[in-house]
Amino acid sequence: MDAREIYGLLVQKFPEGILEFKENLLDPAIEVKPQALIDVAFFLKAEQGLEFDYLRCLSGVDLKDQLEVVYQLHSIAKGHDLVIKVKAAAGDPVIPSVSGIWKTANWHEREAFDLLGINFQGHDDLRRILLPEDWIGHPLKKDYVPQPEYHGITPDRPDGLDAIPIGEGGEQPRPPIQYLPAMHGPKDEPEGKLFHLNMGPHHPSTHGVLNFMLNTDGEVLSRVVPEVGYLHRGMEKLAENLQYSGNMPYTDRIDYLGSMFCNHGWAMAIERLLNIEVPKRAEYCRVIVDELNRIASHLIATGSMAMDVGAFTPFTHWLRERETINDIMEMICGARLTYNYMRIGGVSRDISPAVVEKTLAWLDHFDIIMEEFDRLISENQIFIKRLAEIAVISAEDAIDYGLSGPNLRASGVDFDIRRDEPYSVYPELDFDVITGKAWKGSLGDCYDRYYCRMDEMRQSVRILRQALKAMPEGDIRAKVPKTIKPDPNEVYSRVESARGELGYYVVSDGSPKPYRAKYRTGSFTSMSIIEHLSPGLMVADLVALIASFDVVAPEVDR
Amino acid sequence: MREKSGIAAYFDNAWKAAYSTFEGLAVTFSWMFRRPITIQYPDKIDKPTQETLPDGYRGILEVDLDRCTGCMLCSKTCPIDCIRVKIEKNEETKERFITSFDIDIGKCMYCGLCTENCKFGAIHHSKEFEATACKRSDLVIHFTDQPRPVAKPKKDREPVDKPLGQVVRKKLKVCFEDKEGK
Amino acid sequence: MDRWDGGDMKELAEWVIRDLFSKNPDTWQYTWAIYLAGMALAAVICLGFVAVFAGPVTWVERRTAGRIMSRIGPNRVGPQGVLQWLADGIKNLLKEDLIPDDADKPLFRLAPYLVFSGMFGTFVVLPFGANLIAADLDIGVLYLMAVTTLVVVGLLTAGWASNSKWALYGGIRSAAQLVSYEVPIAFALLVVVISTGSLSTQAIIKAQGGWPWQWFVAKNPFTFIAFFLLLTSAMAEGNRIPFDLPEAESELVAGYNTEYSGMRFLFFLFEEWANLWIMGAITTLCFLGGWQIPGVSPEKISASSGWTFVGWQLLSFAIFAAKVSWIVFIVIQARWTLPRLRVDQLMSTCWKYLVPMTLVCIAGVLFMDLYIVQGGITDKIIRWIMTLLGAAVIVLFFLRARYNYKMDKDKYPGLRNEKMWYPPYRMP
Repeated sequence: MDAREIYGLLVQKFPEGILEFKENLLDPAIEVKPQALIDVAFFLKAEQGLEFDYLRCLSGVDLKDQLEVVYQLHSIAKGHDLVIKVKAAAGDPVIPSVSGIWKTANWHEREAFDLLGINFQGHDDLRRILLPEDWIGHPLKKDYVPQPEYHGITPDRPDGLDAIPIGEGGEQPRPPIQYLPAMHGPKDEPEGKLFHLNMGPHHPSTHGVLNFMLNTDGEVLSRVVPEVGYLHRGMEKLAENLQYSGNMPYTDRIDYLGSMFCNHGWAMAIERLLNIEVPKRAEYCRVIVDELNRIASHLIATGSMAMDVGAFTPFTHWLRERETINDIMEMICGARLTYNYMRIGGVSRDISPAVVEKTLAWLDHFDIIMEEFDRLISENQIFIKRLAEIAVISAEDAIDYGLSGPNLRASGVDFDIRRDEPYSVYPELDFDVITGKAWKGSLGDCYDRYYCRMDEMRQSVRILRQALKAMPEGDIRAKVPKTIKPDPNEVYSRVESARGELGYYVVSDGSPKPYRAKYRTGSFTSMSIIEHLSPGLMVADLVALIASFDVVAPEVDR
Repeated sequence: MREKSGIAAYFDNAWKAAYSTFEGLAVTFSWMFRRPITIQYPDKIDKPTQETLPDGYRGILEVDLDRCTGCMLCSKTCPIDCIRVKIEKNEETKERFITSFDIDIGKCMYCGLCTENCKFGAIHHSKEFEATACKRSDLVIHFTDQPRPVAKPKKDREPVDKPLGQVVRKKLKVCFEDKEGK
Repeated sequence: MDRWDGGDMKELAEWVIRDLFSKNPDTWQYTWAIYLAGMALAAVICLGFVAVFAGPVTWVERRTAGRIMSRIGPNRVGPQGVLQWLADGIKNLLKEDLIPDDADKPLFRLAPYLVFSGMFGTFVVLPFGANLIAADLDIGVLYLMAVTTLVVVGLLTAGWASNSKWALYGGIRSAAQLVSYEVPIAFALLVVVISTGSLSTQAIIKAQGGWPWQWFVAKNPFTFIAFFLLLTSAMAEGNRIPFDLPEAESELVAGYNTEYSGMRFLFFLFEEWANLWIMGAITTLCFLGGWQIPGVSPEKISASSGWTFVGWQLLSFAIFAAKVSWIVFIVIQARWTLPRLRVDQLMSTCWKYLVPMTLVCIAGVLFMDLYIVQGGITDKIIRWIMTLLGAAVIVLFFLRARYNYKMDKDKYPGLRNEKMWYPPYRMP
């Protein structure tokens, strides 16, 4: 069902609540009155034939006099999309919370509150998520003034080429800190017999700087509250101050294990805004590097998972294999980690025959090593016992919490953006979508998430073999204007990254810089389910659970 | 896979634990006879790492001022503002001079956008990557000390004819060894 | 002058009193001094041995781990890095000795020594060769079980005194783990004790022979299984992966030794690697024939004299050390192969698998001992079958390892002629 039909339905059902249908947008949107939002959202989720069960992304936009919240909805069952918008006055932005309808909205709404100051009514835990509790102001508001210092930390660079200009903020009174949620305070009274434990931000198995506040009864967890934001670099704020093409190297830093996907998503978003056709060879180049990057990322995911349950050797073996991918990437684009390979309208360099040859040779070797790896660790009984039946996520929960990518598929949900919303040249390539098969325990347990990634690597090898063979001759870059100035419009583009759906919501106002760019990442949404899953797990299981989500901290915090 | 139960599951579990351990040990034992891949950087290597890097490696930026026409395109494209070029114009002769060309490699993120926009091959990535300093100001490479006239644009020239990294290697040496000497 | 044919330090001391001082050890007033000197000598020898073993074995472990992970491992200090352990030791000695402010300071200081003495005490009854043993106690095995318990006290003290939540978790885990695993170890040792009829470690070895079919491991199927059960339990007792829960680095940061640094930290590490020898020595003396030299009976060694006697002693020590090293290597290799168990799985492995299985082994050995005559034809057939079975396991292992090696080597195009396989990570 397309957006116009749904609009017709909604107008019939809620004649008062629906304001406008914005058909001229690239993703047609329906504007809803804040008062009617909950009813509309509930209707959209529950109505037969609509079944919008998956909230992809929730973004706040500052329109100067108004604040807008945009909901990107998707129906896994029906396979259609919808965008709804709600506006609130800038002075007192109150919008009802949909976190009761889609659980994934919980963290997204907290983020919108944190960065834009939108007050979501009915949200039970509306506090800052990415920024510290005592931060002043909401950075993504257009009238935000940067603070000159934060607890003695200044953005000043006394030496080097330039000092970073400091905003004219002056000293402002800081709100008193009553409770720093990032830690169990020393005065925290234990609840009953429970034991408070801060896991992180510096802990060997938190994969970066994440903090988990545990309430434990011996080894058994009664509650785990993840605290994120330690790696928040304000990527979205940075994007607003950069030209469209200049933001490309910054997207590398969203997810350091999957830079290619971040490049790809950004390039696709801007290409859609500009309506550019990308040459075929460039698309093939993109798919090849995407799949190489997917293998590299899954190698780290599966390897570190083995390391987190105590086996060190698999990790180093996978790092060794990843080293070859890094070498190949280095040959392709000149960098090993932050690739910055893609450009708006194509890719920066062509893939040479030497690269093709080396990649094909490595793939043959990799097949063997995959089998050896299975013998080494995947089939190991201790490994299986540590992961099987642990932290089982049902398909409903997975969709409700907005899990994506391998995490979603491991729960048996057959949804892959590469196949279901095809982009690039994926329709021309033959591959299977791997879903969880309850390999060793029940559907959606940690082992399924692990083995989904292993099998996905095999599929990536398949795609790579086809793509390397089928790569046509031709240009690698379309003609793109020198200064990119898209017409005022907005777009939501998504790619299937190694960590699930990577979405870019980009609003353009006709200037050379994006008006708003929101990054929807897979790790952020998968983190929000941990609190729901954790009761009853053991401390060691939590480590396996975090590893099984393949969380990359900078992708969570952006 | 049919689920075993009761006593069968018990022995199945024990057997699988023993067997998978056996298989795992066989895999790790076989690695005792394969060659390690570690490279003993930086001292025990066959040849300098720079020589093993592929063409087009994005190392420290290098500027060939004989080619620079002073168009400032690199400085404008740089998303992070790490290139600073100063051009002065002699009002009488209408000649333009590059008075300073500084690159802050402590800030540079090696994205390569500047090199793509340089039509004359003046700015390019070298294969140098070793640059450590005690101060951030040491990481600013000054490519010229005195004003020098801009080059005449010649589009048909080969993009790079100097060995990559020569200029920047000298600069880095000056940067770091001088500091150590004092 | 009479010849010394004794078994341990006590007898050596008595021989010294009798033959060098020509006094009766029962009545001479300075007997105690000679005894004390003997004890001190034994302690110094053992300490030296432990230090010299535990140090290089860290290097062996790290090099092995390196190879397994296709790394190199430490290779800079001394030839091939063999002196790495000395460098590490000196570094740790020179490091600042940090004690957390809120720690229980006396206990914090005490814990490493408790752990160390628990480990070191076992060397009293561990033989090194035919007559090389500190004290051949009649209750050797019992003493072994008793004295290793001191390690638990040390680890628990360390965990508690650190006043760190992670260390406390480690301490509690180690207490639960070590106390539980005492049981299967005791039962597995009982299998041997039943077969021998003695608790003395030397008697256990003397009940076996030099050839593999004379070892307890090949005596019958139950001892064969008991060998593996003992090895597993010993790994748990020594906090090795897959049982290294007290210091599980991905869960508990570093477990009970989170807050330790410098020399105190070194003591924990020292204990960990010295434990490897103990682990290997116990399994060797119980199941793999100890120091028995093939074809040479213990009586022949005792009857020899002079340099021949010394030669036999050295040879027996070499054999014992070789067997122990083999076990140590397996344990090291297992550490770099297996993942770690969870706490509840650790407990169920102990109580649901190891304890019942060892009990079955005890019953089986009792049954076999009752109905099968030692040295009879049935006994011989069983021993041969078990020896062949053991050999088959080893051969199969090498075949599997070769398969893994060959698979990769053969299927990689363009590299078939390489003498040693390695991937072209830097293709020109």
